[in-house]
Amino acid sequence: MDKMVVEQVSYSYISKYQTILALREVNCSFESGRFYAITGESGSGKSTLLSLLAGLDLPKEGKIYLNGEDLSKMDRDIYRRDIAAVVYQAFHLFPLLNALENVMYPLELKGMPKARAAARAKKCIGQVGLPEKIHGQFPKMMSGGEQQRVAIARAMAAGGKLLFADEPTGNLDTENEENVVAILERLAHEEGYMVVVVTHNPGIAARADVEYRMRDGQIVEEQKRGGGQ
Amino acid sequence: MIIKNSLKQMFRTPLKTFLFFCLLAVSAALFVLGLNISWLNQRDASAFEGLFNTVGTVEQKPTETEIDGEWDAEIDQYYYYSREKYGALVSEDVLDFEGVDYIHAPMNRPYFTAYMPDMILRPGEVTERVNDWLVLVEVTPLRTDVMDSLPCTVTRVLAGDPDLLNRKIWVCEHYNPTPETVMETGKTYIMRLNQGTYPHDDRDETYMGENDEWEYTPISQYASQYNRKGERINSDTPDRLIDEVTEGFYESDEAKPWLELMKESNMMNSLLPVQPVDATKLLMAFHENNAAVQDGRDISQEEYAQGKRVCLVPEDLAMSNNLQVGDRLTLPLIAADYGSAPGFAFKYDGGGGGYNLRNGKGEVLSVFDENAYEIVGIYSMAEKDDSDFGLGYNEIIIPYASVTSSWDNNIVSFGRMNKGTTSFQIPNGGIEHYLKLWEKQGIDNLEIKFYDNGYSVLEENINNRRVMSVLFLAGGVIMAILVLALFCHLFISRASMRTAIERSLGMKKKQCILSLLSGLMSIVLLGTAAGAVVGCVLTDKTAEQLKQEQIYDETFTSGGIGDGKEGEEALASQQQITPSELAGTAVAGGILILLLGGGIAMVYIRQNLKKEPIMMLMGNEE
Repeated sequence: MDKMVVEQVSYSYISKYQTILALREVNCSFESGRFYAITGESGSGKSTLLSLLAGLDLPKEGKIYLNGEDLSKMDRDIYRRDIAAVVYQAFHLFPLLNALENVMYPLELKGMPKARAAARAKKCIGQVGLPEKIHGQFPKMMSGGEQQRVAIARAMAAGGKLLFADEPTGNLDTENEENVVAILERLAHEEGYMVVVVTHNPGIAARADVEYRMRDGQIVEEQKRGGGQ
Repeated sequence: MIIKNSLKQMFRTPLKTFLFFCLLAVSAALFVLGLNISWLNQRDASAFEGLFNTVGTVEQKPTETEIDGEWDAEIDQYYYYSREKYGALVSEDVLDFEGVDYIHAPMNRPYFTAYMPDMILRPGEVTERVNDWLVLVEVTPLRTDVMDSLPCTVTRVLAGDPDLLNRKIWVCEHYNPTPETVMETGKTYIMRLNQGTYPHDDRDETYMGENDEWEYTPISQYASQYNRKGERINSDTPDRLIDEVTEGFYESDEAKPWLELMKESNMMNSLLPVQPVDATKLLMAFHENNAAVQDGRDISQEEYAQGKRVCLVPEDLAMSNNLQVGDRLTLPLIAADYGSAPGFAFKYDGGGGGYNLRNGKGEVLSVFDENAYEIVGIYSMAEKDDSDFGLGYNEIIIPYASVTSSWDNNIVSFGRMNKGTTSFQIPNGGIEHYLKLWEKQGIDNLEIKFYDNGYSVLEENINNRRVMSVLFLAGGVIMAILVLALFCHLFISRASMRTAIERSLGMKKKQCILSLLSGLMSIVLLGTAAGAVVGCVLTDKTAEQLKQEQIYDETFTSGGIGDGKEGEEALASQQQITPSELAGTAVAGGILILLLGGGIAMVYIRQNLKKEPIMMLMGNEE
């Protein structure tokens, strides 16, 4: 069972002309088997917090621990490759690789033989409810929902149990939104994933086990609803 | 896997990739073509450098022309003619001016004569020899009179044509308007005679000649000697035109000059010219390929510089005397002549002359240097040169520095610098520079002419090719840079999101570099390889074109013998382009393009990797 603890984390974006304080002394924690929602208005710092959890950068101040180990002392490349996976609002699939190749990519990166990688990728694609015919399709040939499910399949394929999703339904219609949220819920509650979703959508937030509400770079409210493993 | 996926993504944009491949191939072809032409040019220039020599000759020009008159007994009046005057002799030192670069500096070189009585110097068919037109005889006049076509009988031939003995000849002071020297019948006189022409009317306008009786003109005992400055050393005793031969005459002091003259006359048939020089090519006959070494080898530059006792002998002399390469020949050098080239006195077809072997006192010169020379080469001539400035008959060529004894007391003639005596060598392609410097010296009574076997024309061709190769090289490089920059932008900068995704999936920076670089560099490699092959094919075509130009260029060098042939062979071998030679430059050019591609790609990739994935993947949302 994995547990992430965020302690006094601050983060700022420094550009040539200004410094934007995106996070200010944030404290929160996450556990496996639960579905978390981080909500707040645009610019509140929720995506920045998710990026730090996903290991895309390090806090300027404060620490993030995974099972008691300081994330800043871990090899972040290995962390991103083997432990944490991210799903983005814009999907961020490789446009020149087909669905199967996109899902196989992190597996092959780990050094898994092609045949095994293909088998596991197909299984993951199946788990997100996509038909086999999607395997050979390139992202531009797929709908937004399909692309997002391929992105989730890629995140699952990597084998890590931490799944971070940044507005995963932001570009989807209602039907696809429901499909994606259901998959994420299932991954948390049935597969034991720690699922952290950044969303504006109150409907999705309402389905989370824990909701962290943010404002001006700080968590202003934590709402626990129970559920999960 | 990374490389495979990189290539896979590259080939899934086939049009863009194909365009990249084609443009890169074109730039590589241009670059390799330029590189090959540049290399061919360099190779040809080096080859030509060894085959061509730029030699200059110096000639002191006349300062004025004057009309001179000479009595001519045949026409019974003065005969007038124009004569060029040269003023004071100009020293070769004036050619040693600032900025000038000589391979061999100008030198008003002498030529020597070797006295070799044991050598066969003339094949049988040539009858006239040096000074053959001079005879030293005793005559008895058939009547008492001045020498104005006075009939005499030759009673003794001391030197010269023995057939004159007992013949009736006419003796005339042909060029003296007032002959006063009287010869008396019944007496015997010694005199040196110059064969003139048919006898002419005497002063009473009576025709004197019959039965092929020739007229001879008495010539004084004149002898010439010069010092190193070109100043004439005069005789202490006056020249005499004739002397009466009386009892015991040959034991008297008066007879000594005549005896020396007799000795000299008899030596004339055993003289051959020896040309000391610093390089064979300084002799115009060799430079113009009219003469060339046919057997053995030329004297090397080291041998010239070190003054080794080696020599080149002419084919005729070698054949007449059974001389072979490797034989040693002792050269007793007796006189030095600064006034003319050997061709003036030693004519191929005989008849040369005006040569003198006596000093200012009228004494026959002594040998000043006598050493054995190894024959290293035997030369022949395409066409015999009977000009006054060419090689002399039987001319032997030796290194100038090999003659270590002084010839200061053996200088028999001195004259202005001319193309037969004064030449120099400058680096190929240096004519224009030389003449610019020369003009600044302000010396206008020396004429300098250059002979470069057409190197100037060739140099122009080479320069044109050099410009062409630079254009191809620059075009190829610029095009390659532009193409690489454009496609690195398309394949790398515009794929920055791909890098961000790869980074978010846990790919290390090195793996990201490999991912971006492998696909791109594969196309660069293929494009460069294809371009290099095309470049080689184009080089082959271009070389064929250059070959045509070279055939044209060869016409400058193949007019004669020897070196022309050698040059043709050398050029022919240079014209061959082997596949390995082409492959060498193609590979070098290809590697340069690859390095260029790798370098440019790395600049773009570094820009991609500078961005943290968080900025790219989530920057829009926050």
